[in-house]
Amino acid sequence: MNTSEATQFGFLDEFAKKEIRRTVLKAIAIPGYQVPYSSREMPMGRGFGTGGLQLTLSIIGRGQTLKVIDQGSDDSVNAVNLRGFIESVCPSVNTTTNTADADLIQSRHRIPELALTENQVLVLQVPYPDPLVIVEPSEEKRKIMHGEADYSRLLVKLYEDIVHFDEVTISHRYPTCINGHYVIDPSPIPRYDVPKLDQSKALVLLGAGREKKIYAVPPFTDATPLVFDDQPFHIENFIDQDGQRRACQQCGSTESFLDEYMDAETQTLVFQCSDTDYCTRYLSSRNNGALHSNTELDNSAEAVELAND
Amino acid sequence: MSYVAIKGGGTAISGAEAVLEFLRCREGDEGESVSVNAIEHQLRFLQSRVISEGGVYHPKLASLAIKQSLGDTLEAAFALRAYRSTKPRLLESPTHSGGELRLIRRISASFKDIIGGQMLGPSTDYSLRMMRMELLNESPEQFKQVAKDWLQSMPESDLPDTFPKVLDALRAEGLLPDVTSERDGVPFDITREPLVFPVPRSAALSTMARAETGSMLGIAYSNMRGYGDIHPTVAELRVGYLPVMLPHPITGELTEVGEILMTECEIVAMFEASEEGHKPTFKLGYGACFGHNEVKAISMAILDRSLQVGMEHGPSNPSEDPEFVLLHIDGVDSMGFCSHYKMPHYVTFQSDMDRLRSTRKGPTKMSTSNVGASK
Amino acid sequence: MSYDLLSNADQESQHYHLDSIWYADTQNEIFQSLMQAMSRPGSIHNLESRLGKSNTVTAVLATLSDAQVTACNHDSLITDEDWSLSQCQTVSADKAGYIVCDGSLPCSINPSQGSLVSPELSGTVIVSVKKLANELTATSQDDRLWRLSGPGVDGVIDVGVSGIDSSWIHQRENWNSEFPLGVDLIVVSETSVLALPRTTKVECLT
Repeated sequence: MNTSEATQFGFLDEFAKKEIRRTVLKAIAIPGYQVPYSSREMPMGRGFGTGGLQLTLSIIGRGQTLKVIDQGSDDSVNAVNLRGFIESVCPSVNTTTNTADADLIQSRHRIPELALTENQVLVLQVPYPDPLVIVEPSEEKRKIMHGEADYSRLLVKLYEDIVHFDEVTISHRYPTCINGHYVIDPSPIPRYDVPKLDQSKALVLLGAGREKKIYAVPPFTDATPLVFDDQPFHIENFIDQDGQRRACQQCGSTESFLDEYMDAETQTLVFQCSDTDYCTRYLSSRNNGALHSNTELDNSAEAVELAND
Repeated sequence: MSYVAIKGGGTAISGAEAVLEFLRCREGDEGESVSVNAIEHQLRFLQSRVISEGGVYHPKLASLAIKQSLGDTLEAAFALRAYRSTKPRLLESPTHSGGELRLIRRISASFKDIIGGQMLGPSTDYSLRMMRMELLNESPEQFKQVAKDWLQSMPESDLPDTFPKVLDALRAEGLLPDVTSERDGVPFDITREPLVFPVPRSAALSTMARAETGSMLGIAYSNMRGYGDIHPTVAELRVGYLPVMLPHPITGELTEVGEILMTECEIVAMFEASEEGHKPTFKLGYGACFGHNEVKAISMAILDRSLQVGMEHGPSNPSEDPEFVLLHIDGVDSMGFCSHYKMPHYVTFQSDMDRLRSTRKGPTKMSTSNVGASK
Repeated sequence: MSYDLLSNADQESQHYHLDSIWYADTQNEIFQSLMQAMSRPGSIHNLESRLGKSNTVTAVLATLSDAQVTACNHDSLITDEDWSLSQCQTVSADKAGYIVCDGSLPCSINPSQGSLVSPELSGTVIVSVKKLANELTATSQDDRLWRLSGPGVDGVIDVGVSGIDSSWIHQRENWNSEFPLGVDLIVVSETSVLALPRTTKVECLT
């Protein structure tokens, strides 16, 4: 027995893929509802993106192009690992780091900076699918609350936060209401990325492998973070002590989500784009003539590639 | 430009794999690759554990999984499970009875004399846990002699292959409820259907059959110690080989396709006040799993009983709560999620810092002295 | 056919003469169209190049069905041979996961709408019609022009559906009156497919 004998295109057996596909259609039809599915074991750990991976393997077809990112980066350990696995079990699938080129993007913890299009599908890896778990441990009871769209206990929790801290302290996984009914955990994306779900042109699929749930934010669908009227939703701010928006120390963009870290040599705090593809392309486009907005980046990236040839 | 933490993933992964592979083979000239046969026999209980938690009866691949995972039971069971994901479910077997087990061991703690007799079989239950120093330098000759001697000294046996089950006698007397055929139609297959609570007992039993031994023992132990009151008696514990029957693909006739080593345990719990019109009876708990795993089978039988209590009367202890028990005993799920915390969480942590700084504003404002000038 | 699905690469070497819709690669492509159709109600997806000798309604069933699926061949649109290839379990329309219906006939089924806690346990109806188009000049009584809105639609979109009995759209409204309960429709013509998930609002223009 060799290793290739054990695998077919897409690793999973076709019945497993069919179950996931049926689940995906239900998830789209009932926006934000966590559809249970059987969830097969994958050859990487539960918690490493097996839900997203099962979605990707059930959807992707020969000749399509895939991008895999983790923390915004194509080259982080887990992204490399997942991409390598998919390449090995889907030999005719192309992979890319260019957001604009991808038919399907599998991501952990980020939505790419570049606005996605109608021809793209975003698959998000989900560790905890249910936003109600912080107020109700029993899934049986949570399912009733979801069905009735009863989120009062969650709102009380947010309210208590405001009483204690003057604002909501939820940093990521911000509870978000889809199409006016179900509240979802949008996966551990920062608050910065939550508005990208609202009326997104791309279909967004969320897969929780360990918790055995698939849910979806269909395109052109309302996605509203849970807030109170007098407490607006705040995304992470990258304002320095002088009131200036911080810029990426590498590409200079002031419009991206930044990672901060301590520079080992200078012992100073520096900021850098978390989306590495965006950062590289922004830097190139800036070097090739001033461009400052995300929307123009698509074209500029192509221009850069031509220039590099 | 430093991006050390996040870039270079590919090289790092292959490097890590290479180091681990080196550790496996580091004995060098002195060493010898352990054979999968040696694992199956000499690490019998390790292999049994992996085959049971992996949920695929494939002794050879279970041994391979142990070999490639350097003996990590969680990792080995995990590899076996992932292998299973590539295989379709083709057939359903008919219901098999534990009474068909070709036994190698069978004990009862409830009766001194059971029909067919007690059969201690291979067990360390009553051996002294002293270090067997002679095994440190066991020569190949000594090793081979053991099996030779044992087989030579065995008399031709006229023992039957199967024995009646201990509980059949209690059932005949009416001290146990009759077996109800819960299975009308298709059994709950946890590999094809998610657990949506409340779940049937068959779903609970199959979840436990491939659960992680230690997790299940821990929760069962809580019940034994007093977070619950099952007070079990082991009516029967059996280890043996079960012939597996499948319908012949052409004739449809049931045909033996092989046999599986398994452990089965039935516990009897103190009777409960019964419904009106019925005499009180003992209550039963059932455990069964692949391989030779006695602690697992007993823990499972205890939890089966405690979960039935919880399903009937509502849980009053963790071990009686089906959601609590069944969602936290799977080794592949729990170890995977535990390990995932080793992955980068830069973005969420960045987001956490933003919230913390924001809520700390005012006199306790964070020091800005080390904030470098960013372009 | 063996128990497992064949990949299209195996197709040439087999003697089964199975139509392409029974092969894994084709089913993957058809699923992608279904996924887009369900995500973007009113968008019409042409399946012609994938069908081989089969019809669209069989292709959709083949893509979704296996031995775990319950289904009802309500108006016998699927041949017996194709029905057994789909491996699905035959049940009545009110219990089925998928119900295959002829849209030219008045709607006479009452599919499951799921429950409040499990709205996914609803029936999905695959309705066969004559023609689907994004513009339509009404020529016969069974030609409809629908204006769709809701999740997946950027504002509104108009679709023309030929050969569907008017009862379908009224029944659909009844089934979907209490979200999240409801019934999702996959509407197929000779060549194409569109979907009406339970969230889509349909306004009949003709």
